[in-house]
Amino acid sequence: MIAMFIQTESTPNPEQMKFIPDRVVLSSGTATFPDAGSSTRSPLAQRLFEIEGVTGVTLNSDSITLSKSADTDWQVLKSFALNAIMIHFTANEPVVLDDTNTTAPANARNAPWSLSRVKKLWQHARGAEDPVDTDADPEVISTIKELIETRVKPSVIDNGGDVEFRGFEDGVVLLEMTGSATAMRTSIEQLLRHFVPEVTAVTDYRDAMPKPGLDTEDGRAIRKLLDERINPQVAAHGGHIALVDVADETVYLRLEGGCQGCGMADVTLKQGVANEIRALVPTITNILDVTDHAGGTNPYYQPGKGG
Amino acid sequence: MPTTSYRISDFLEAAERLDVDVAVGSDQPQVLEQYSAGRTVTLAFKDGDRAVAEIVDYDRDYPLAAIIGVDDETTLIAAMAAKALKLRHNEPASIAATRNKHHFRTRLANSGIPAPWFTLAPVGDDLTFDVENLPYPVVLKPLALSASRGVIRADSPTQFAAAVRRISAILDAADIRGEAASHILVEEYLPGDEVALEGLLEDGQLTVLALFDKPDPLEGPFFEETLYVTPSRLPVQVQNAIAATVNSAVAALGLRQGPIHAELRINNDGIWLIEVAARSIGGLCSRALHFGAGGRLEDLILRHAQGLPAPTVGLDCPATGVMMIPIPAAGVLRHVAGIEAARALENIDGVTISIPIGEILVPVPEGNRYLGFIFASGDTPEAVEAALRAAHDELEFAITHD
Repeated sequence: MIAMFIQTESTPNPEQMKFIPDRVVLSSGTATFPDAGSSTRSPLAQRLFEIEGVTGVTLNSDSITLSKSADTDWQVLKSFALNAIMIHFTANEPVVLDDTNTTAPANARNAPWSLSRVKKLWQHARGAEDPVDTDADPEVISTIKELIETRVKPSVIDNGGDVEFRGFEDGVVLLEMTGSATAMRTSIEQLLRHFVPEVTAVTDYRDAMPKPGLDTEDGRAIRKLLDERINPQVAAHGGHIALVDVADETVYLRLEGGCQGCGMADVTLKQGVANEIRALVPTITNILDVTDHAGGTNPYYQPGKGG
Repeated sequence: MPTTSYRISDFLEAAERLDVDVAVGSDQPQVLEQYSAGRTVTLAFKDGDRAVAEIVDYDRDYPLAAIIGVDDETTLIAAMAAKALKLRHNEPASIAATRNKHHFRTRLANSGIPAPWFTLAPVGDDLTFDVENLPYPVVLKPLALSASRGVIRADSPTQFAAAVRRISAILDAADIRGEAASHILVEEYLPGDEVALEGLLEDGQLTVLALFDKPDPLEGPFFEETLYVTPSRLPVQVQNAIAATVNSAVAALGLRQGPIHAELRINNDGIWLIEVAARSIGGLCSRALHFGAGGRLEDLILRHAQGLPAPTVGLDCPATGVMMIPIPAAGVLRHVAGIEAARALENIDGVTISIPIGEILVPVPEGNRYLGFIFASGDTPEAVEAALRAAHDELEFAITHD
């Protein structure tokens, strides 16, 4: 079992913050990188320059000092920086390359990330996996894939989930989302829409698959029940219950937001939602929860040892 | 069930398996209470008399056949309400004795059951309390907190004073009231191996469901639970003596019905009860116990509440165990790696991280949450213990001090 601890420390300069991990950063000396372009010999600095708002990186024996732009908030940037530092050290990636080796290793990320770089990468990616929508611009799809791999996936993994590209149809990006990814859907959508204007929405590919059961009388009635009676109540706890499918005598539900991982989720489902569904559609015998509760990032009730 | 219970899903799933109609009484309103048709009810756990009145009111609309207090916080309310409704249960006085560590020690000592030296100590400054002449090492325990929370070993008067200050802050944070807010139990530290016994009482007859060894030494200064492995590797005669000791203790306490969880220490001087609780094992640990056709531990508890007999079958695999994953340090949990590698190991049945990414980790003695649980089963206790340790070694936790 490995645990890593990082202290943060303010500096007299409000645009700088010191990060002190529980291990050696540089074996000797200091390395200062005033911009991304100067950081090719430091995979750690390159990784940090990928964070929006980082304007400088200084490495010492026991600390990393980041400089940021004035319009960036430490509250936001700090979290990204902590994650980046942790991922770097726990992956045992080098802080700086040997002086004789000025080329980044094959698995190091190229920095800084930019749309133009993604487009350049796409040139090499042509002919790769076909998109679902054959009418879509391959460059757009390649850009989406690159964004998911370089920007979305690391963040989702850090938060205890995973995400895979599954297709692009009529402006909708289809992803396979597990764990925390479900809770991060909105922010993923915002990011993709920001960089790729062709994107209008993001959804889990399973939700986009044809589900004839949802268009039946029972399916419509259950959706109406959720929309009009259940979800307005559940929203009070920051939650949402999505109807995934209705098949034969079974209803498939996914609990989202404050319900995902909530200690009382089963009470909500079995003692509340199930009652309502069975009362409305007596032929329904099974109500199944398909939520990945382990990926919940903001559950309303969390367990403890109690009194 | 408190809204903070680990046990909610396991009990509701058992109720479904047994086709038993259950209502969940909890301390916070359920989000769909208005649509639950009596399947949820809000109870004032902090005010026992009021909670009992609420249960009695509830019973008028939805008659109850039994009441189960799932966690420590609710066992006394369940007993009081059962008595008010004339349902089969333990006497409230018996439950109350298990809920206060000083009452528990006093009751057992008066019954002639071996007990360590103990006394009640004030939490605040009290110059009349002689800290210099305590039989060090001693263990300081809050009277009414669960698990290892607030339990600290002190080897000297200086450590004693520091421990009292720390416990005082823990009691404040936990909103403990009454005698339990102003006093703590101080008892002689007992060296030795520790075990946990899971049992079921039927009209005073104890059935031992599992006896767990705790292979990690619990020597202090804090007492964080980690490994539980059953069957015990202690000699059979020692295991029998443990069961006999627990039997004597539950009789002395007056416990006659339902689940019990007992913790004991074994050394050259004998078998010593650490505590007996009138509930089943905490956290998600019950998931390590499968009783074949008898179902899970929660099935047995629900069946007993219905008046059905305890199963005659034992555990359905030769050895099983659970690790309560210790919290390595205070901070914010940022990342957990190695879960899939841990799950892939031989004899590992499951790995669950029970604190979400981004949450603050608080280690014992202040903390009251488990970082997660690892479950294993195998042919021998040794194999199970090795698997649990190997799975734990696969896990990496990234924690930040923001």
